[in-house]
Amino acid sequence: MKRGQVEINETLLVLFVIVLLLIVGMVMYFRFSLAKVETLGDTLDEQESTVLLAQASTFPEFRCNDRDCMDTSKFLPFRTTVHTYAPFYTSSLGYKKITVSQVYPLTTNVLCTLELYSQDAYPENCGFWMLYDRQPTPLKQAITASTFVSLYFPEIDEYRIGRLEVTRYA
Amino acid sequence: MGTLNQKGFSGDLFKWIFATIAGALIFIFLYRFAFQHVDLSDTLQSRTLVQYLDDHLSALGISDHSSSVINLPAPESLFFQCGSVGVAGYSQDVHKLLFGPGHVDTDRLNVWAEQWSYPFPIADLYYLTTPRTRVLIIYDEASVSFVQKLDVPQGMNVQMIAKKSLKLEDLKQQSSTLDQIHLIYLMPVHDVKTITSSLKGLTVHLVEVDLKTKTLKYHNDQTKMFYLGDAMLYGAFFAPDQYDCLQNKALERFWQAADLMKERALLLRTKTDDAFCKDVLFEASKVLESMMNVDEGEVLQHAMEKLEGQNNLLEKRDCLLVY
Repeated sequence: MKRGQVEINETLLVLFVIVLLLIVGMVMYFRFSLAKVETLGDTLDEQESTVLLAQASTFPEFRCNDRDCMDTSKFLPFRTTVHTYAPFYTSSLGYKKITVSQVYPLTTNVLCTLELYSQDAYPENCGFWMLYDRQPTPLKQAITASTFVSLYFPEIDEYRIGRLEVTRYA
Repeated sequence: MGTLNQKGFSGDLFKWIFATIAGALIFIFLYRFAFQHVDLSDTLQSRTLVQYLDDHLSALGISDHSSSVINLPAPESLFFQCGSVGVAGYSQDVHKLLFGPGHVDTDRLNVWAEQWSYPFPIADLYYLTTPRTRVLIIYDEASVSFVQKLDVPQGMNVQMIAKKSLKLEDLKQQSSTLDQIHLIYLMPVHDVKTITSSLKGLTVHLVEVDLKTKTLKYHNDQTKMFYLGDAMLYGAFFAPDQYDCLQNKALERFWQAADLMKERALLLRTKTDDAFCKDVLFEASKVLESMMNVDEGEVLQHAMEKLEGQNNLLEKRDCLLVY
């Protein structure tokens, strides 16, 4: 091999090593950056869920008129509203599940539906309401937070204790 | 330094050309990478700030009639466009009825949240202002009772003044360092030209409110609008230039709430055996249905009065209520 060719090979080798080091550096940097962005995203999501949990009981869609409670007679109509105004609710609530269950006095662990509502035994014949549920595909994780709320049943003019649960899907 | 020899380029010359091209490519790559990194950092920072503002507002909306000050770490260029919040090229619809300045450079925001019921709960309304914005409510004898009932938090920089005490020259002097001034007249305004010429050089938004017909006129672009309840009127105090767009958004929320209340009335109807209660609840559901997609203030106000009457009737007869 001639001297010139050796020098060119040397130059190419040095360049190759530099490029290789750059690529390795970049890959590592992007991986760390991505991890940082994901952590930040999780933190923001978590904050949002905490605020949503505190806020959900005072949503105009659920709250009592002039009183600090959740009006259970709005729960079933809300399901219809969510379908009618799907674009608004899917973009404002995102991938979440919101449920309300009656804690005291204890009732059956049955989902409240229109059919059960129309029965005379209501509200003793069911125990929880599914207000909103939108899952991503594929579902990676689900984190649930809950708080106690005051439930008002206008049909029997009675207040009961309930639990509001907000599940954040990812 | 090599020059052309018999075999073509010398080794040295080749190396220089090669190193220059390779160096330039690496430099361009690093240059682009640095800019992309700065862009990404800015977007992340903007997104975090928007989320921070959104969370702060949501937390404020939990209690009725609450106000707060949002202090930002550094002055930011913020945009509030018809429910969207934007910071430095990043904008997000926060799904809130935010009445605030279209654009503001500040590190301090005064915020006030109010539950909007008309007469059933509809939405939470948020009002934003800065220390460099002044809202002046001008009243006369006919509107003094409204002003006396007005309960605006102190930090919102809202002042009330009787029309006879208003001196435009003094106002101009006092407001020379402000970004903008909102003049809310609770009476007919006949001297628009005098007002605007007296305050020349200031950014003035002029709103005329008719408390009887519940309408308002934004004199800057001659837009005529209406409001449903005082909470909505307060929006015109803080975002007169965006009120038109926000009024439409508020109406959409109103229709959603009316739809839900209609379904609720029909549901409650199944829970009573009293024929009178059943009839009134059904009529109320029809009134609520008639409000859907209506964007005329007068029609909605009339329907609301009818609904209030029906609700009072139900209350008297000890029936289940519409709201």
